Amino acid sequence: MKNKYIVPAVVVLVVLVIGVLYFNNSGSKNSNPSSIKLGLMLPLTGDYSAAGQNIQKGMELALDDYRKAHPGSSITTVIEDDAYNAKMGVTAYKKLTDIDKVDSILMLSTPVIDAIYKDVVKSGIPVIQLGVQTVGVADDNIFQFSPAAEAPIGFLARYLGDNSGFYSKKVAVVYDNSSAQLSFFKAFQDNYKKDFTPFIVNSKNDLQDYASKIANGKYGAVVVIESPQNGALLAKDILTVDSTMPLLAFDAQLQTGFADFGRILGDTNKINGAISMWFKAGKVDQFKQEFKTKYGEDPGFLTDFGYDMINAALNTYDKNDATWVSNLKKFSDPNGVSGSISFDRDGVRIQPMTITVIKNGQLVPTDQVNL
Amino acid sequence: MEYLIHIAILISIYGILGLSLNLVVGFTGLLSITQAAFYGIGAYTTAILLTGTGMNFFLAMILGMVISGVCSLAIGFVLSKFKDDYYALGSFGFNVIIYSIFLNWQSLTRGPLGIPGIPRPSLFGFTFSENIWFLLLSIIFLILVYFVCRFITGSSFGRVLKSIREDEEAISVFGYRTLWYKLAIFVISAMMASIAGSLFASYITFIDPSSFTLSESIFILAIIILGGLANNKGAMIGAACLILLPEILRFVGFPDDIAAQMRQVTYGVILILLMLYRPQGLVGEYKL
Repeated sequence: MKNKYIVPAVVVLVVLVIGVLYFNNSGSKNSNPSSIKLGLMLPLTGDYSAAGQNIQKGMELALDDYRKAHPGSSITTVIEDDAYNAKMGVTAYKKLTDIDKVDSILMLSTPVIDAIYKDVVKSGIPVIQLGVQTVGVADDNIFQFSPAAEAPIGFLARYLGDNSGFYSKKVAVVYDNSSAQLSFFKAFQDNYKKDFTPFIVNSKNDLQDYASKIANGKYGAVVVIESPQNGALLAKDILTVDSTMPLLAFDAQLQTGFADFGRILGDTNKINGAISMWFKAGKVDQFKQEFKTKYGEDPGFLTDFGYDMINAALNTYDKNDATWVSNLKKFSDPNGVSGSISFDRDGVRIQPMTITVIKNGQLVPTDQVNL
Repeated sequence: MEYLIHIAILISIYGILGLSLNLVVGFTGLLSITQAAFYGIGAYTTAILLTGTGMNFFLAMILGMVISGVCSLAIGFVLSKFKDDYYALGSFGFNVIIYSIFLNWQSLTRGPLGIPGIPRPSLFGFTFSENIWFLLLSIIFLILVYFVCRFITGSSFGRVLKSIREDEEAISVFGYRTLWYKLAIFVISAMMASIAGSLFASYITFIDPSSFTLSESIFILAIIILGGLANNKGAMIGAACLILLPEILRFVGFPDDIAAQMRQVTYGVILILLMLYRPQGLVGEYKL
């Protein structure tokens, strides 16, 4: 194509795109009042795609169940990828609200909610966010579906700090250098009042290096605040260096990503005795069965949260945004598959917690562990 | 219209980045993969000064340009020891170093937690809080940068840069100290990238290191290769195309469970086809 045609061709393309988008964008917010339009904004590509895709699967299962239970209901979803990145997330958010006119947004990514926070509060639509909000929480239209980092990690830290069988050992704390795990680490640091050595993981290569340091440094106890994959890889690397596994304590990811541990370690009996904090269990048997029937695999990390996010949104729905937000604030479900669901004054989920321990390769809730 | 205004703002910001990198890669022939680092330095300087000291945006932008300029002088001096592929690898290394600083100097940058709540620019009491006004501001900066680039590339200085690209040894025989020309254009390019960083930080109102990775440098390089190397209009056209293309793909009806992945694949295929049939870029004069 000759150079002189390129610029006009690009201008025509731009005008066409603008025309299609603008004239396709008809009427005001969700012109069909009897239908519900949900925007699902998840990291479907990039480093967090495993989490995003798992949440999507949980959400789709919840939608199937809701439609079966409410025949004739009209629910549409628009799914956009934010790649756990602020720029892509802002673009996806603008498209969902300006073009698709969704009634509510369900999302995961911490950097994205931090970037769109002011716009979301201004819009008034209910947003259910799974990741933590580092910008801070307030009594607004954003509901954080995971408890604040302080609550579960603080619980784990205080539990370990009160247990001489743990803190009397030489303790290492290994955590990912990502926004979520850094928040968890700070919560651990504020609540665990004994000595420990921190190890920051920037890439998977660090895991092998730290496994050697932990084994050679005779650390008797290791706190792991990482994604399930990295946690399992660290455990595997420690075992490779030294078959005597130190006492391992995990944050929630041992529970949520237990399938990953099985896959990477091959046999979870290798980490018998490891403990984890977890939220008191929800009704998961039927969920697990349905998930396996639909997808042919066990539910992975965060699928249960995705399932519950959809149910919380749909069971509180009102076409008036302020009423919907108010309904969500009052929402309570003791039987969520991810555990009991209710929100505090700032819209952050409250969940009772417990300790679980691996016995015979299985996770078992327990009130007391002899460390 | 918010969505369209948002896209237009991104095109303006990436247009500035494309124009800045084109000076180094297109006109001087130096394959640099550090642009995201200077973009990030501008963004972080602006974010830190605006949130930490309440400084005026425009003053923070100027300081960002100064810091980018100083860093680029040091980096450019080291890179001047390399040629061709080694230059590219060296610049790659610097991008990784700067990213690691953003990620790990947590007392300054908050690391992966990022810096939220970055305010919008204000001038004589007027705040660019509405996106339409911010679009106007970013277009003004784009036009300014375009005319500066046009002036540089149309001047005798620009002719020396092109000569360095074509045959550095030949031009140095004529007494031109090519090191200083290369350093000068590298610094100018970095300062322009910093402008884009300042605009980005203030527009998105939140930055974290993931916005300034090596992938971002490669994306900016793709903008000028697609648009056309050594052509200022090409840089802006490339930015428009690479920003618009994934947005158009959002409206293609891929199945939900693979839509995101299919968009990435389709985007990649389109770029490959464009390079196959138009290797000099849409309006380019020169191939790498």
